[in-house]
Amino acid sequence: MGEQAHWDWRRRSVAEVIWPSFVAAGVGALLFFALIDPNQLGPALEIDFDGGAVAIYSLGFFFFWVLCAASSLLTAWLIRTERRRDEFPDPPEG
Amino acid sequence: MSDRYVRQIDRAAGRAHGSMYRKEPKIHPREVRGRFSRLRKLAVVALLGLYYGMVWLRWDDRQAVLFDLPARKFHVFGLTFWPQDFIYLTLLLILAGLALFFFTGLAGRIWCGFACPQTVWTEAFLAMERWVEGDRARRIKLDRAAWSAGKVARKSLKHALWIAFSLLTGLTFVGYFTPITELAAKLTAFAAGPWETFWVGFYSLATYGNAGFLREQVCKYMCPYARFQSAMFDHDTLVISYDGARGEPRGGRRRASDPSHKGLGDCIDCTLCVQVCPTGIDIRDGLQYECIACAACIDVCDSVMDKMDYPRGLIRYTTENALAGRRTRVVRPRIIVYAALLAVIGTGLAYGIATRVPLRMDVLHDRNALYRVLADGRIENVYALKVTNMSDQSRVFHLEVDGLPGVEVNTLADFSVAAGETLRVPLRLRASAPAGKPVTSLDLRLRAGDDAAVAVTREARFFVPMGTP
Repeated sequence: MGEQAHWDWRRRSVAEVIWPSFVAAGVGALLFFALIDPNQLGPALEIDFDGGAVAIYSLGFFFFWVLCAASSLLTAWLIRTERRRDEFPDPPEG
Repeated sequence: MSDRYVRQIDRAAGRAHGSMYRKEPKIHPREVRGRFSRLRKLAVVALLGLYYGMVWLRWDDRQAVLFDLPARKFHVFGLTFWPQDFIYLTLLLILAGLALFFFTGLAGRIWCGFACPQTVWTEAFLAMERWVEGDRARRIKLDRAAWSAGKVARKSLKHALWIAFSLLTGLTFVGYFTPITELAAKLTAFAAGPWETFWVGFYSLATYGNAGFLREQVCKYMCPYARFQSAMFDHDTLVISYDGARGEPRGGRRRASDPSHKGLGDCIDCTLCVQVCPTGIDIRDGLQYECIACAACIDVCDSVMDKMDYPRGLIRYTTENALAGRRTRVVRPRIIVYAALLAVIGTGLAYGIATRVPLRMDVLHDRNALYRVLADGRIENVYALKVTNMSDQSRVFHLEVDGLPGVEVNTLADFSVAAGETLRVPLRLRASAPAGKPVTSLDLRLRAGDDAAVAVTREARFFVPMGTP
């Protein structure tokens, strides 16, 4: 395997956005639901939701995932759109 | 800077490095036999057996290991944990992290090569691939061949096996959260809840994608541990290394010829170490972060050395110090620190769980009035007790108050709390004001009627008006 190919930046971006946010969302959901009982979330927020606790756990997790993915996406985008000094060096001073 | 401009730069950079747009070539690891591959197969069988088997174990009349999220109870064999026991989970995670540091410092990436789920499931998927498509040469030939009935049949069979295995994995995963016997029955009757079905599908898809397709790319692009593990390495950490001093200059030769005559080292450049590598690297280029320390190259190189009648260990587990001819120290400060932390937190966790009382009481003093002066001159304080019975059975509790002589305790007499329930109990204490003290600390002791060991004591404060004689 002489040639060492790499993922192109699109695939890398997908992995870098989806995966860390998945892990962070897992931790976030864990902490959130350790404190908040989904069985009492409906009455506390005064909303009529009768989908069951599993639905609330799942939606809660996806909420965190989307939130964290948005953060990762922004980070990835800021890095990708940074000016590359090695490719286009600053003009010499003076 | 506009998006288009950035994309142009990216393309320019891609052309310059010649790699940005190339797809990762599929790696076909060659099968290897030897000491370490036996050890890994053993680890794979043990770990997968644990994962698929434990979910079916029973304890009394329930599943032995069940994280019952809707009811917010975690059953682990004879123990039941509640959200209030979160501290144990935290300690467990810290313990796991420390153990990872400890073993990495000691023996490098043995986690990656032998215990990581990514490795374990990839190994299982590779075994199925090998069984259907044959050894490395056949698999490469099959992938290059034009599509034919035979190729379709083989590929379909492989994917069918993978999908079945993935579905079993997904079912097992959800089975740790929903009783698996009911879940399996409901799923086979297509009557499972939408979210349960979704999570079985989600986990199955993740398994299929990660172990079937992404494989070593997870380690290369997605694993944070792969990036920071080197920070835990020192010159005494076990690494897998090629002995360049002995092997170089490498080169092919006849079996019987004496390498020193041709000016060659012991490496016959058979490239088997590259062919067996699941991440597709050449260990002879030195330690690389892609190396997951699976030791496949050690096994295959040893078998070549045996054939050549050379001593084993051209590629071996060694340390940087050993390679440089220095002494390797196993016991060193970082190992001692990790071990000490592990011992302290591990002991603390075990002690905490062993002496854990399945009863919780919170004492809330009435917020509206600190005290009330009764007609007879005595002082009254009002509290609310929140009593949670964290055991698996309904219990009767009895309250005692200590520290305030002559106190009249006015509360529910022996009250009963169902398993897993919280009861709010009003408490009214009446006493003559203790002389000269605006606040008196007293102990509220709650104990179960059937078991004197199930008891908690909470401190409460009894307020009296300032200036009461």
